[in-house]
Amino acid sequence: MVTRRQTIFGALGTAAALTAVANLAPQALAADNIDEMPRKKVKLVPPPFVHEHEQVASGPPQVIQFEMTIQEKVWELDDEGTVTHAMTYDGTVPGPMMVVHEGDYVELTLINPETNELLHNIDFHASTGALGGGALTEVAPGEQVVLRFKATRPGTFVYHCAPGGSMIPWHVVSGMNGTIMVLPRDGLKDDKGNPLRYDQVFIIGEQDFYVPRDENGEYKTYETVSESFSDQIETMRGLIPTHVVFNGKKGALTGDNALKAKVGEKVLIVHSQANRDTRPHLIGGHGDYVWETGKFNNPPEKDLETWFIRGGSAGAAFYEFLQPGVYAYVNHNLIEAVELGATAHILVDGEWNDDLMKQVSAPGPITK
Amino acid sequence: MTTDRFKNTGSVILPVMLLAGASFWLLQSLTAPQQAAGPALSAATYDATIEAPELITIPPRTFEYRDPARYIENELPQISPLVHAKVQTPLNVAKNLVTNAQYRQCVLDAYCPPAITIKTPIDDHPVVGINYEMAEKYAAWLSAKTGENWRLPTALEWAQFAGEKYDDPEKDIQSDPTNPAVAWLSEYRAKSKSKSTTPSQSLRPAGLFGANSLGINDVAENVWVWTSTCYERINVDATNSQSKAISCGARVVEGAHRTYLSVFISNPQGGGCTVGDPPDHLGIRLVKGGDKPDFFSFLRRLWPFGSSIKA
Repeated sequence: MVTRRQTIFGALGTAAALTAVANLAPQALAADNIDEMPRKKVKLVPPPFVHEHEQVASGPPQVIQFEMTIQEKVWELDDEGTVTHAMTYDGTVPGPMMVVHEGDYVELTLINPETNELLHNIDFHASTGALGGGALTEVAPGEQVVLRFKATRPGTFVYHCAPGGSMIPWHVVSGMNGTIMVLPRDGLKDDKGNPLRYDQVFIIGEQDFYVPRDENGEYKTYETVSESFSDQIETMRGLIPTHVVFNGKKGALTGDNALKAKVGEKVLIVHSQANRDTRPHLIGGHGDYVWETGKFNNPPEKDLETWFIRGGSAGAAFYEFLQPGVYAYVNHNLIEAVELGATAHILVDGEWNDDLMKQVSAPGPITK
Repeated sequence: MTTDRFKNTGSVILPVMLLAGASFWLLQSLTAPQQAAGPALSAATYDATIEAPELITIPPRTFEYRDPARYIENELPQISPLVHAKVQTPLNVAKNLVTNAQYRQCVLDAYCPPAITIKTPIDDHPVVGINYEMAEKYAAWLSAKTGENWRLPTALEWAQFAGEKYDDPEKDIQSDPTNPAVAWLSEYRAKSKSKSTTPSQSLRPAGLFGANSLGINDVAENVWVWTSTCYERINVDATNSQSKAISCGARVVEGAHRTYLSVFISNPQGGGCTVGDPPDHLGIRLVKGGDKPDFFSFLRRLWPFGSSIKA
């Protein structure tokens, strides 16, 4: 009889061998002058925020070094105490967003600590080859790997875990996904080529969860992540999530955790969904410039009410707040927004503009 | 009309809570403003095996209380007046919220519809997933079974027995007549602040949150309760003349903060347009005896502006 860990590692196979090769001789596969290129270590920041970065690259391409530690952890999904076993990059759902410029090299150290139970890897939609790096990054508990890829295409791109077979959707809907933003070296531009500069970036990682219920309708809990596998796959195959949330938890971006902005501030809202289609909408606002597919070589669409994020992609919406108030940012499948959790709030301070909107007559008796 | 009594405010909670069901309750209130209370109590006749809930008697007391009516003065939403209430009669209140075991007896009697919840109810937990009509029916059923007069409390009575657990719903609200967002934002921030200190949504056996200073258990914890007080809006114009609209299609719901809900709602949710802070769970607390005090005549007595109020 095989142990659980052996079973889970059963899929290692040839990819592990490739990993070993890449680890032993990374230089052999690299372009000529990478050794001489400037290198920069960047510490990642938990969403909804992002690490400090230049919007316009001030110098030539560099090697940007990131490090992420995979954490399997018990994860609370709502304020009813529903828990699941989340799999996370660096402890958050979604994982932290990385920002580089087109032509930079991304060099990621991915650590899978001994305390984890499962094999993991990373597939960068922004990269080219080896299943997005997935085939070169499989790490068992107690291992680490270093992957480098060249950021050749500007845009917002999903990354996610993809360790093979049913493990792929299971890891992704357990929270193992995030976004990398590759900015054009000269920054974002509108449809006419004029520069667009943001004051803040908000990272919205939308996540569908599939928590099994018992015969009494209660959410089930499992002692270990591997024990939850077969029930979870069954629930996932029904395709109806039990939770659709922003940033890992119902209410992660509301109440005390609501996002904050000011009238006149320009924000870039990056919205990722690694598994399932969604349609963000800012209630009471718009998308001034929206890269629905997230790819900055295409001109942004303007004045959108709702934008479509394809499952397995990240999009970016640029907006200047014109009016103060409490904004709700939702998945405009309103059942998912209200009943399943896909709602964030943005508190915007500033002066009210009567020209844009005014209550001409308060609610009162009908006069005619 | 003194301006320090009335500060301008926009209401967040109100539009918010009502949005989901607004069209329904408006329609309902227009077509059947004084709906009778459910089917005849044929199934519910006196039954000595049904025990009346444990009672606590609240002595006459004096307390500050925010008028639940919404006020608009000269086209601007106002903070409702703070009423200095002097209640001179004692009030009999059930010590505990109605539990699943108690409510189930009414369901088994084919008088109450089952609570709307996907989870299996646990006997000694408070019943939740209750809309206004279910709460009213349970009170009617219990009254028939016990031969006593059980009913839902008014919003005023709730404040009377909530004691120190009564938190003025509008005390932290700021306002600016030129900027409605000031009120929206301050209300949001005030409610978020209280949220961080509220218990989780997980239900606990009745009584486990403990009693308030008046001896009533589980007040303003994670179960909100229906009151019989109807939603009311009062408009005051520049000549100080008033008009009001009462809709009993929505009622005042009391808990950690006050809100207004359409009568058919049993499981309010947050999110979306609903930028307010919804109740975690909706349940039932009963009071016993007496006719409902005439709330409006009561308010008239307390009304700070004397004869300016018309009946």
